Amino acid sequence: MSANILAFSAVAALAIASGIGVIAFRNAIYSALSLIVNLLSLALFYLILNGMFIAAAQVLIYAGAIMVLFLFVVTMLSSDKAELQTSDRISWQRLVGVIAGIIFAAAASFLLLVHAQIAPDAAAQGSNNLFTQISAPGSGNTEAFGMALFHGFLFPFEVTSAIIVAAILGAVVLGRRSRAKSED
Amino acid sequence: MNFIYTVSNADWGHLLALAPLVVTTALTMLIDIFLPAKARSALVAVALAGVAGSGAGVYMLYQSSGNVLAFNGMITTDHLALFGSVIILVTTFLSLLIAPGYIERQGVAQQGEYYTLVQLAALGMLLLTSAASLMTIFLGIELLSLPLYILCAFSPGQTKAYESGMKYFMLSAFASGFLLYGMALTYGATGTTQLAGIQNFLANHQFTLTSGFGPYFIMGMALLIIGLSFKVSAIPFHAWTPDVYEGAPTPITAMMASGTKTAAFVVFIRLFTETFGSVTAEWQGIIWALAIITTIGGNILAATQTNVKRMLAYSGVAHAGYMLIGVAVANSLGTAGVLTYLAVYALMNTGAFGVLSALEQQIDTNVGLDDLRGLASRSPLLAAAMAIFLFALAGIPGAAGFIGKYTVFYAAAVSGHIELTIIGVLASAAGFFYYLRVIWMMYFVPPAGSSAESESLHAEIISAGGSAAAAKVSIATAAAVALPVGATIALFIAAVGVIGFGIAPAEIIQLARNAAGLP
Repeated sequence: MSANILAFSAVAALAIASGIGVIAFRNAIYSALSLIVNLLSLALFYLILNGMFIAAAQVLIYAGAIMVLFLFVVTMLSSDKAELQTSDRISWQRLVGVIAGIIFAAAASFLLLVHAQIAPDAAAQGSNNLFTQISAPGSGNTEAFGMALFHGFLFPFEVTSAIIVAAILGAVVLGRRSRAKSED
Repeated sequence: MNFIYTVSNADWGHLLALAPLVVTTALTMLIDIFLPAKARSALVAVALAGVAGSGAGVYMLYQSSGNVLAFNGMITTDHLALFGSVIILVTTFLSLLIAPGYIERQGVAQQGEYYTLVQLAALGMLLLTSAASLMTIFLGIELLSLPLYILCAFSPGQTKAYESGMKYFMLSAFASGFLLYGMALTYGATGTTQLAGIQNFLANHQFTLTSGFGPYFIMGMALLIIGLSFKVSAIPFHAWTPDVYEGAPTPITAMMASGTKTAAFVVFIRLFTETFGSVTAEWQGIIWALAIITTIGGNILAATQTNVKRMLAYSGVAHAGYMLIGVAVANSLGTAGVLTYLAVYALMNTGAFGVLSALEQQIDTNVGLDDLRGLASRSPLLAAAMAIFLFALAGIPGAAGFIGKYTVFYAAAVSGHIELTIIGVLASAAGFFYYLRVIWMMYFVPPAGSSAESESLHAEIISAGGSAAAAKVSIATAAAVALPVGATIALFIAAVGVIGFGIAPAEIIQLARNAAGLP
């Protein structure tokens, strides 16, 4: 077992534990803090994969900016505890969900962890394949990332701006409406 | 996968179908600022111009020949994409025509935002039909979904509208998660997000469920099926459909029902029938089962509804089932069938929702079956239009819906899936019940209350002289349904299209065959 696998296992355990924490904590603040840990462990994954730029962006944007907003919203809104404790109308749903989830996770991990072998097949494809490209030195640096973003992936990058316009409009529509309501 | 790619001038030409709508979307937002509140309904003209411009762009792309891929294999402008784009543009055009009267009645003040979001959603649908890469497929789905979440919750002060928007948002975001995970696994297995690259990889590599990249790929495919089935509202991923359709403004429901379905089915065809065409055996069984459950279940659920909008929502589920039959046969003939079906479905479904939106302008709640009693004697033209659309949805020969069913069932029969044909035919025969029940209500059941009583009430309304008072009176006692100009034009176009394609279907079938790559 190499150091790489050890490092991966440790980060993976952290990511899963914090992911469970996000949905398991009853207090919204703890959930938000677990989400920060989860996002940071994702950044560590990117580092393991040599993705320096995306790891930095992950820390700055997600764990930094977005999570601070989350915490603000949670602290401003978390007063109505009664609302959070409504019981499920369909009581068997939770049980069935847990069982189905365990079956899915077991089947998926059995297939992916026991049977799948990517490496031999990838090696057979020669040097031009994705796995040699992305594991080449410098493939994850800022320059390579920028080249991919503004050349190979220019079109999807531009499309995201339309999506952001839609999101902003949504905030305007729904936000202005609730303000008009409170002024009535 | 090519990470470093220089965008050439030729690439921009492939945006002819998208660019006009992008321009008018920006224009709508700009003009909105300078218009006084009362003149904002004029913005619909800008949106309509954008849709018409995109239509012209589609025509120019149809005339041009040469390389169909652009921007590093991100989008394509092949005939399949153009066929889907035309359907989406027609649906958006009709939905926009219906909208002004409806949203003013609903008290929507933010009309600029409404029309902008409708155009953005249409852009997402167009992008989805022309997507040639997993990346663009995902962005297209997000670009069509995000405006629709907001539009679903657009009617101010209505709990049902908020429920609709919230439900659609939560469930759709969940489904997007499945889709994205499926894409990640497919990418991991094949090493590329471009559909052409995936197709090439699959043609040159062997795999099984338990070796090599097989586990990644098959799980990826399964998750992709879940994500897309949600969008076309196939059973068992349909649970959101009736609630969301019911709470959304009816013009949006019309656009969502046909537009989203068209975009998602084009992706279904592109991903499964085309890209995964060499590994048909791995996925055909799942789609086959989905098609059967959806066809049967959709019809049963629709028959139990008394709210007409929910009935149409479940009938939309059933129609998704018929279309899935065309995907399940997994060949070009099935593709041609699905495309024909989508084209006629867009007309008849948008038409039916258009009639509903006209009726909803008179009553405050959603239209129930009882509200349609005696509609034929009050508004003969509106009832006739509704009857045409319902006959078409039921699949009665002579109306366009029959053509769609015929092409799909024919494809299933000659491709060795006679069981799908039989189930489809039986299910659509069962579907006659709930469509014809509405027609029965409109034509053969007298309005509630005695006619003398309603006449005296009617006289009172006229003497009161207030149109506001007339609007408050329940539809059973109101005289005729007043139809705004835009809605009249939309219903006329839809009705002429439904009858025209029903009588002379050769053209549309030929176009669909061309789009599917058949002679």
